Amino acid sequence: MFSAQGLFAAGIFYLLCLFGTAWMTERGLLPRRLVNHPLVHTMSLGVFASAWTFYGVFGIILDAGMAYMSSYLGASFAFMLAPAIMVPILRITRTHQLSSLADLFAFRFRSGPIGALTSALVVAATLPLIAIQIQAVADTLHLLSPEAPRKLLAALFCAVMALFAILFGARHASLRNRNTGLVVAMAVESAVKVLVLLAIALYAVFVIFGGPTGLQEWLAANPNALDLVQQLPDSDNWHTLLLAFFASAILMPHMFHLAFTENSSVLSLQKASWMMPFYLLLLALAVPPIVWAALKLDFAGSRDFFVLHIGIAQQSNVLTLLAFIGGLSAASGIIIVATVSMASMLQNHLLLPITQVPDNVRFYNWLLWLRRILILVLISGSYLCYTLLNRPDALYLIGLLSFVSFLHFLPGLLATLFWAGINRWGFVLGLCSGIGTWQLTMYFDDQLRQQNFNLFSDSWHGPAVLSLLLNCIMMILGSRLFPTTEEERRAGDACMLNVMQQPVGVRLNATRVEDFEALLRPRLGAETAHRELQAVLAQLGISHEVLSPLDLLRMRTQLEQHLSGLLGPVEAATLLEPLERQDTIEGFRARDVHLLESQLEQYHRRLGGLAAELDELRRYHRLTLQKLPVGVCTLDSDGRILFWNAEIEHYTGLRADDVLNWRPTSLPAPWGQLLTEFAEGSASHQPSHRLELKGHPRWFSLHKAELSEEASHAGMVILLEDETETLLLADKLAHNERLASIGRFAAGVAHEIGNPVTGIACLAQNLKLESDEEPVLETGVQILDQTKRITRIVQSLVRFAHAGRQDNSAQHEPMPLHDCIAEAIHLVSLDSRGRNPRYRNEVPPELQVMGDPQQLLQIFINLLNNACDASPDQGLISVSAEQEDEKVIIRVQDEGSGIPPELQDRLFEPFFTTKDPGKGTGLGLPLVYNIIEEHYGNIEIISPANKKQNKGTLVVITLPGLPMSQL
Amino acid sequence: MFLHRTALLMILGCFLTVPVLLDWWLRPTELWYRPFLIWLLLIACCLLLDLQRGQRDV
Repeated sequence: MFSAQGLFAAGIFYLLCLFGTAWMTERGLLPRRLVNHPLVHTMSLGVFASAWTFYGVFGIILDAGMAYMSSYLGASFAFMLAPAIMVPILRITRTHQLSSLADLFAFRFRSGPIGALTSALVVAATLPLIAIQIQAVADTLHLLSPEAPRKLLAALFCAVMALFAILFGARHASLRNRNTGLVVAMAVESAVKVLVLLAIALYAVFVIFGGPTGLQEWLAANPNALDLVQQLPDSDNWHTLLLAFFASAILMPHMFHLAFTENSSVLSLQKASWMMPFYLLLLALAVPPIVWAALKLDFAGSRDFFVLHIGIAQQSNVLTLLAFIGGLSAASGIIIVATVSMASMLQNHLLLPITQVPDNVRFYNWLLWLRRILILVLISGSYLCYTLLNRPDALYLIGLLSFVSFLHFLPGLLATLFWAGINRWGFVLGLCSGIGTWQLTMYFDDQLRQQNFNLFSDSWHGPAVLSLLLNCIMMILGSRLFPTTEEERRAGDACMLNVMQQPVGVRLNATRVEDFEALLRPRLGAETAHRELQAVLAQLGISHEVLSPLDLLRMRTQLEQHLSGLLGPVEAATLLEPLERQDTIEGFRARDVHLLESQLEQYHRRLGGLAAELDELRRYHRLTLQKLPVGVCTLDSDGRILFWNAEIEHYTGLRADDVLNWRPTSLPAPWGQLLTEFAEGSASHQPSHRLELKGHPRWFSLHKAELSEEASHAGMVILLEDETETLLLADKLAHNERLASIGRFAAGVAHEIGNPVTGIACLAQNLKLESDEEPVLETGVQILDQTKRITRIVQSLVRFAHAGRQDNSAQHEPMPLHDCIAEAIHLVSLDSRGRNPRYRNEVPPELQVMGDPQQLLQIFINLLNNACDASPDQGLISVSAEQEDEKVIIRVQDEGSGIPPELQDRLFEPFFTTKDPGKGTGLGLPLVYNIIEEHYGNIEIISPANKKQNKGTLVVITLPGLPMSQL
Repeated sequence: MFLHRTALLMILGCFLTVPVLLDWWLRPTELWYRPFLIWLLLIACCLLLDLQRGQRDV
């Protein structure tokens, strides 16, 4: 036997080692790769193996044989189904920063009272379980050292547990921070448990039985011992017990805390799907050999402590101490983690909603101390429960009551994941009726009042199954009969497995970061509010003061998640509630549609079947709108831009990413005014609206249509059509028509004027014969000169008229360009009007163009005349040409004064001239233009030709050359 | 309203069939470690599934 001090010292030494591990982890003294490894986290889930599986199981195996496996198998099934059940829960808790079962239900059903109810029930069911752990440790101590003060040691054990929970389980105010020290310590504890049990089992097989063969021989010789272990109870109790353990492995506070709150990776749960069943298999496998060894040793003490008695019977202190340490680790793990988890539950759901944070304290510290006090209260409560346990069989009964109570949370949890139709009424009715029926039937069951309750033969199975059935029925009935709020429906969608979350259709009353801060300040204090907001801004990467609607929504969601980690989901939602605007808008909202689309984009690969085809169709329609060769812009019901296609991006130069969610008024000029006035106006069409863009006039046609005939503000679609090209073409056509009419007019005038002028000229010539008077003769000569001038004007009018007419009979033939230019130069130089320009014909002699020789000669005469008029005395006029494919490019350049830019647009207008009156008709260049058009060429005038000296004019003419075949 | 009919049907199916399977699994035989072998086989299946799933943290 051990002395009380020795045992106490051993226990304290073990717990100090545990403290040391946790402390080293928190200090970063252990390798980070090891600490963050998914396997470490998976191992920590071994906290499931409590004193029940370490001590209690030996009593069960003697009563019910193989039914002892129910606790191991139930938990194994839970872990094997982890990818289907636990991984979705982890996703929800991780996304919405939920730290406990109460948080999960409060978030799902958007109800503070449900959080409080869940917390109260979980605490009520867990405290007796913790009391059982304390009792197990105290009984062990008593067994090993009968003189030790049992209650005092139990109290001391509780104090150490509380200290550990406070030091390593309540380190951060926000529950979103992981307590890595706690996780590593729990992993170590799990390893200790399994190693100790395996060591004792191996000792039993190899030392007590002399090896596996010895064991087989002993079993063959003692078939009763084998039957004892292999028996299966007649009642179905153990089936229900298995289901209860299945539920407990997910729902008990310590399991929930380690599997979800302290877990940030899905990988560890995926690993747990085979690692935890294997871990539990090792634990279960160790039990039969230890039982047989105890039977062989004719052990007659308390059945629950077989594992200790092997060492005692073999007088092996090491073995006994190992068993004691194993039991201590089994009991301490659940106590520490369950207390930490329940403290956060009570804080979020029972205390925070009814307490006001004092103004003069720092919020984070206040929260931490609140949780620490709660840990102390909970462990004290457990100790109190332990002192009230006075029946030895009560361990089973209370354990059963607790485990079946957890079973009643299972329908709610499964419905949360798989059935969006459940609502808060259904959940509460189901839970209350289920647990109420269970507890009441057990309380009034006379069989249970008698001593020696037997877990596997007493009739508790019926009430348990009936109460569970009642729970499910009431849950479905309640959810069907009572209405579901919109908020609940949204939370339901957020929790559903594999269902894409609908965007939240709320409008916010905030536009700036300060608005959020002002909202949080009264509850959290200025410093905490600021710090939380900065954390959210940093996480979202938002730096600007005024937030876009999409940023606002992202910020609100992120902030709610942060606050949920700090205060719980209900408090967080209540705190941010004033942000939501009450007025509801019907129809599409730009931000919602964009959120939905971005989610669909992320979700694209996971869609299948009809959903995938519908998404393809959506993409096709979107692409059609995007590529439409007309500007398309849609406004949502709130008047914000919902869609902005590629063509309108091209027209406006504004990218879709920049303008989406804006109101048209916020667009830069002139688009803001144009679109706003058109959207608000009554006309649904606005043709040829003129806009000045980058100094050039452009014309746009606008059309609009409401997206819904019935709802007045369901949004609208606006089409923007660029009509500039069409209008310019129409202008050109009108211009050509005008020229043609001038031509017809000119031909008529020329004909009408020609006859009288000829008459005047004849009469003037006759004057020479009529009179010899010098003045009269002089007058006759002048009249003749003037009539010649009139004739010249009339002739040019006629030529212009002819050129303006489309004459298809004109024969275009190859002609040498050099000769044509030479002739033109010759003709022009005959009438150089007092100037003596130098002409240079640089056209290659072999170059030929296709055209009418007379008309082309007219072109060059006109151009050279103009050049001559503009050139200074002795100015150089050069003509050059080159062949380019089938075109000939001719350049006529002078050194004259050039043409002012404002006049360049009017050069080809008939009767437009800059020459002095009487010197030009204004028909030269229009004639050139018309002839060149008829020859399928074009003309371009560049002035100044010499940009350095800012003088000279260059005329570039393109005319068709010889076909390639004739070159 | 969204309802995972397959999942709910599976849960109901498991509730009905698992007791029968368990009785077969744990029935007494000469090999006392038979239930553990079946258990190990199940674990191997889970391990295979996990290996197929790969190392993606989804």
